Amino acid sequence: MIIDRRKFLKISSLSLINFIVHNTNVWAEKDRYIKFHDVTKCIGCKRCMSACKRWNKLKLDRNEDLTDRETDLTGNTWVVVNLIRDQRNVENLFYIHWACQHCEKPACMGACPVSAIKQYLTGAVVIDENKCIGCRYCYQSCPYKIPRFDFEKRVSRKCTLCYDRIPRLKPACVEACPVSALDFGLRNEILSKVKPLLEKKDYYLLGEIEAGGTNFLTLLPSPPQNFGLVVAPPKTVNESFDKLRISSYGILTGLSFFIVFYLYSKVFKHDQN
Amino acid sequence: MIKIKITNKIHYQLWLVILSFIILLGIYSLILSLVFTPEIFEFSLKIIWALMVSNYIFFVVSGTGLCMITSLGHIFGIKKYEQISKFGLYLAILTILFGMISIGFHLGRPDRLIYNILTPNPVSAIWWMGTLYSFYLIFLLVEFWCLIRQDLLKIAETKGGFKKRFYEMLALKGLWHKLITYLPSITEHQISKIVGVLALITGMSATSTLGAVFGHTESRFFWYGGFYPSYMLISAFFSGLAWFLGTIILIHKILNIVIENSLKCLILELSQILTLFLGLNMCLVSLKLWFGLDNIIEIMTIEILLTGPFKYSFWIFEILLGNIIPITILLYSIRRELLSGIMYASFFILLGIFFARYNFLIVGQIYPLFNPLGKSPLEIIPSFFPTIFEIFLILGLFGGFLFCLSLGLKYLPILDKYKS
Repeated sequence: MIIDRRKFLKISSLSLINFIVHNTNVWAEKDRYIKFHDVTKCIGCKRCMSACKRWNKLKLDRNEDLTDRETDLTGNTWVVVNLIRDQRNVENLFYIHWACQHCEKPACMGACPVSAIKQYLTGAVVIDENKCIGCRYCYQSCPYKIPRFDFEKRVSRKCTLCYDRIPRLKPACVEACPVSALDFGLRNEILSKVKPLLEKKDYYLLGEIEAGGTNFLTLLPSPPQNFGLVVAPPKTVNESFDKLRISSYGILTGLSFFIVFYLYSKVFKHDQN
Repeated sequence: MIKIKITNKIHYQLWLVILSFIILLGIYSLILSLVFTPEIFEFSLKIIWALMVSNYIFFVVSGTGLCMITSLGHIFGIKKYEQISKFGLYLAILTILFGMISIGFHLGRPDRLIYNILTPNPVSAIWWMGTLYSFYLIFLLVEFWCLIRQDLLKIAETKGGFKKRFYEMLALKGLWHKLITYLPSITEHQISKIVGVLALITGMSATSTLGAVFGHTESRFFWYGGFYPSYMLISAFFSGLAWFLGTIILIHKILNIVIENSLKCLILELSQILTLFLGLNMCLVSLKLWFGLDNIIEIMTIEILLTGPFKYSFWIFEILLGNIIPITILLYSIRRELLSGIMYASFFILLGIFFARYNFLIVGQIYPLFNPLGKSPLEIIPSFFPTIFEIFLILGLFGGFLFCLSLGLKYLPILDKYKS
């Protein structure tokens, strides 16, 4: 195939833009580890929450108790387990383990102005607490609204997928689970185990396609909307030229102002009154 | 140049003392947040961008508008606008400065802003906004300094002792002469023009990027899209106009200065433009709400704004006080050349814009929320009323703004023609 100069420039520039815009970690598919949660197995003991606090040295929150009261994520609670009713089938109640989904294309990483959010080759998305300026844009851009502001440290914090343990050890929450409702392993291996379940029953695998595929998969007995869970779109804004497209509206308005000002100045240049 | 004379010194000093008390209120609340926890500024953990951010938007966006108006004079060369260049630029500097202070209070660790330079993230809209606003402030300061330098030297000639040295230092008398030898055939006016163009470009880009900060957040349906990068620029222009018209008429009234015919004509002309832009603003707000009707979550957000807990804030403050009443007053005042009416209308507009920024910011964050218990949307709306310490801090910021404006009026040559 003969590639002329024009075609060469086109291909190379598109590749370059693709390299800049896209996350380079997508090629490390075989090294990607994921956390998996089977909602149907979870007994709601909340040992995962305690283990997370112990390993990450997180403080107790105010009024914190391990009951079935609805718990929310905070700067010191990176994992929550809530008893949630299936809104379509009200007799069914499930314990759902909720934490950072570790998106393959994290919107938070593209939003952080000081590059404090890093994605490790293992798939973990981690906030560098020594670099975070506490602007909380990561929270705004996150489709799941996960990173929380710690008022004591004055930075955003969230689950790190125990990047400092893997692959030598499993994440603290997974190791603490007494009924194997939580699992951890290579993405391909876990998916091959889960796929037959999806085919047999009408289950839903949250995180398979959302936000470009996440590194935390949750097996739900019915669609996530029934549990009031946020469902991210398959593509996040970082994945495309969407940011550029949105910004271009402002550029066009700015140019219009310049043109109007110029024409106005041409007409009224010497007008005193 | 005729120097300003504050005829009633006691009134002026009393005014400064009152402002100092208001500033102290802000400092008190700031110290409390540093000693205890910044949580005292947070009315809800789910609405994490609160009053400080809306105040930042209010200030910096207006600042860009002021820069756009002043650029018509010494950049686009329209003679009648040249008389307002210095005053407009001074206001623009103050607004951007107090906007930045406001966002500094919001940030958890503003001391780490050095990472904005060390580890930049060019795909982040906030990075672009911060960088562009920083350059914008520098360009504005240089532009303003170039415009007032000759006046500073003239003031220095009339003074003696410490004051003389102070004004000479402000004008960089010795240093500038040495520097100018390396830059032959370039005058301060030319430098101000070049820097002014840069300030205008960076300011407008920064404000548009501020809109993009919201436009890029795909998970906030009310903000997402290309509307806000454009709208921020349009609202910048009319909020800048309101700032300018309100303050210039008020200052002339307080100082008992007669408004010259040329300035009066300009004020009337700008008021007409302001009325036009207010009409455009109402159309754009309606358009935004209309476009939002294609998405169920955005419909719920719009419901909260129009008929929910934000209805008074939206209908009374943003629409009635911020648009309808000012348009009526402006139309009446322009026909009868009533400058007081224009001044009141401008302050109503500023009040409306303050509420508009608050509504836009807070309502935009209400959805989507993690709603596992299937409650109705109105049940899970978090608290959105500012805390008392937040209000203190905002008062302190406005106090500081007015304090700097009062000092500038007395000590800096920011109005071209003064009559005591």
